[in-house]
Amino acid sequence: MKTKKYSNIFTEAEKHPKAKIYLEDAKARIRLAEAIHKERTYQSLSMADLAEKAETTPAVISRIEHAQVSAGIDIITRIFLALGKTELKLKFA
Amino acid sequence: MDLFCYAFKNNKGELESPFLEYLEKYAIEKTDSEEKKRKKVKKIMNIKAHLEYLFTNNGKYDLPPIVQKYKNREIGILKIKESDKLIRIAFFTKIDKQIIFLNAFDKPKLYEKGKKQKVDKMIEKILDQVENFKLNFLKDIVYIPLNI
Repeated sequence: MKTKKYSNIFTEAEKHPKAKIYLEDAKARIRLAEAIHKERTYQSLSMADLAEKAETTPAVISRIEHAQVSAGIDIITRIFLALGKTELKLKFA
Repeated sequence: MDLFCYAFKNNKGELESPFLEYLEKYAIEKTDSEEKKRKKVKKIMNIKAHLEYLFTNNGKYDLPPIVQKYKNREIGILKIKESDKLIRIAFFTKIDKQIIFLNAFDKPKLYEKGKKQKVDKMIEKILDQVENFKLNFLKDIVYIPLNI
């Protein structure tokens, strides 16, 4: 059966000089989101609890956990210290 | 693990995939300005990163908050926030075999008061359709492979 013609958006996008950087940025946001969410839920903390401990807002925690924003190192540090972590291990590839 | 897009035969006799139809809006056009191309590439790479995340986790439904099973339905929802859009990709997984992408849609934001009920109703309607896609797939096994 004939298939409707679709663009291969991923292959086309990968030709762009910034594609690799954008992909790695998005992956990093996802890894960070996963790490924070796992630790927060493991400690049975709500987003509001963590936000209070990290001196930020629940909306910021939510955006980071949904991989929506690239958080700055200052906020990442505050979140991990609030979670009682003094070390952060992240896979970069 | 293979990645498939659910497909059906359209009125022209061609295989059509609702998920690939959705992705078409991000296709880079020759007429796009450099800035528009760059923005599209950024969005596409964000979608790709999420699809790869799902793939690496074997299509699990329980990867909150990025992937969640939708309420009582046997359908996974991959949640992506892309600039001002909330993208939702509906899929289901045949354990250790395939992830089948059924459809995708943009979830409206809930800024307006009283809008939540309307949005919930809209999503339920889309998911009813998605469930039908899943049943059709299980019956006819018609798909288009997805390469990311």
